[in-house]
Amino acid sequence: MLVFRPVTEQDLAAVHALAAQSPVGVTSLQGSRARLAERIRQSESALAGDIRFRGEERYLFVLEDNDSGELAGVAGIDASAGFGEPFYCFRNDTLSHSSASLGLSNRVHVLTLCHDLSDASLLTAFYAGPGAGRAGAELLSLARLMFVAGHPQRFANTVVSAMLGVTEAGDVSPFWDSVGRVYFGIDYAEAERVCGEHGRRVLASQMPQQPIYVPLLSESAQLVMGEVGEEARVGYDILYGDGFEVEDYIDAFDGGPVLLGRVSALRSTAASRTWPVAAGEPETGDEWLLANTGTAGFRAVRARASLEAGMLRVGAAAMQALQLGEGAWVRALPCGGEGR
Amino acid sequence: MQARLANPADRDALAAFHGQGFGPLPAEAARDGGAADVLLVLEDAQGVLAGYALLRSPSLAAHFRRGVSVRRVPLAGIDRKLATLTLCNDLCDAARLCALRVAGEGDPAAAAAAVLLGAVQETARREAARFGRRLYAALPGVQGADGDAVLWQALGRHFAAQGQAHLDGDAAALAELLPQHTLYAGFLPAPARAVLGVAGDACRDVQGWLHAAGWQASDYVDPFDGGPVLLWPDGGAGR
Repeated sequence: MLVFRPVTEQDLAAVHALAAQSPVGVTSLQGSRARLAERIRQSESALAGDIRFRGEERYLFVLEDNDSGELAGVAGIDASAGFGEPFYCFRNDTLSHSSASLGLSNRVHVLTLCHDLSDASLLTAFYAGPGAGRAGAELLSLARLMFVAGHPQRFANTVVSAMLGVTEAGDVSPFWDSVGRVYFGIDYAEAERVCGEHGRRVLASQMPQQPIYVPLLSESAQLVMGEVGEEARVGYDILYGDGFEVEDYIDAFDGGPVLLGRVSALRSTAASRTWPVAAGEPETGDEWLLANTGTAGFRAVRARASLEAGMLRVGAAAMQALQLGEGAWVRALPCGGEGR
Repeated sequence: MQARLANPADRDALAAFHGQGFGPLPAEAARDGGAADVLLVLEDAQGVLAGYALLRSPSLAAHFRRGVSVRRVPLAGIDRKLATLTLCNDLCDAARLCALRVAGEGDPAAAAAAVLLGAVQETARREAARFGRRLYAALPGVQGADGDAVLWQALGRHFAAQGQAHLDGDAAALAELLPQHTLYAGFLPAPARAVLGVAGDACRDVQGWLHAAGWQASDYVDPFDGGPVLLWPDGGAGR
């Protein structure tokens, strides 16, 4: 059974191996082993703290096959997208240019560097390895949000996620080549490596504040603006199905869409409910995402369950994976529900 | 050779004149001009028209000012100087040399241009209140094989295509449709960057004549064709 749980120091080697497999655009998984170790320490510290108000906390979780002990994925969430440094992205804007004396006007599509979303919480570091499958990827992605639902004081009312944009063979990003390369003269993979090691602010803060005129970008860059890369398609579908929406923002590096979700409106946060748990094999075959209510001991699984007399009946294996006893509370969300 | 103010008797000779240089034909100049313009003609020793120059008193003018912006990211070993273009009206208080054409080629043409330019500059000195403290000349830029300016194809057409007919008329007003924020030249394709501040082949000699008369290269370029703007006298901004 795949179990979603907080990362621990003992996971460093396995997480490092997963990070090495992840696409270069997953900035928060790039960088050195030392950087990952620091990230793990940050997560352990955040989970150990009695957090009343969100701040700089950064949480990192893993998906573990509890039969083999191998990790199948990693995912994180930052309490504040822009706590230590602004969360930069481009906002799609329209400028109107006119010549009154000639009676002419036109509207121009521009990209404006902004940090409008710095106050939101940020989904990060999502990578589901080949062993996770679609079901595992869904658990990996949405269990984070069930953690948010159980600990709302630790997070903002809005959660954002910068999806990977379109890249071509050799980690070439048409958007970066038309925008970032103009400013910095380095290729996309190198830019992501630099940001993985030092944070995105290192480059993003040096991007000019002036709007970028979209008609001047290469045709291939314009085509991929706001488009999801193939490697992020599953993750995008999961979040979109959960209620995340595409708004006016795109990633400043690869042009991928930045999704926004209101905690009050997401299925995983607004539609998940807590029930007392009853041990025993469920009578129906419906699958649920199930999570305990812990913090450092947070666990989530995907398993069959059924509602019976005000209690959620869950099988023994799931109960054990969730570290729950009879009558404990479990947060539950039916799988394949009314997502879009 | 001598230069003098044009008069109505010059009309036919101006209409028939074909010299090398830049700017509108005399008939067009007469139509577009008026009290704001001064048309100087050059006569040879036989009294034959050998050239003309059209000076226009200050009016709305729009150019790109070329600049540099530095991007430094020491952690990534990045230290770059990036060329920028900023639309400005710095030269709206300067008079514009709209046309300069002389007969002949080579040294004789250069000599004729020197006389005409001397007259232009003397006129500007004498009527400083009318022509301002500086003169400028925007030389035509480089054209592509299709006859359109290389910079227009890369930039102007994206913003002002519906006003292309005004390029030869009220170009300063048309420039209001161009990017109003600083533009990084790196967003232009390499051929367009290469023609910024470069005069078209037909104006290379003119550029030499102007330099010989003390006109200086500037950081300004025409916003539509990227042609160079030369200033006389040099020094200070157009304020």
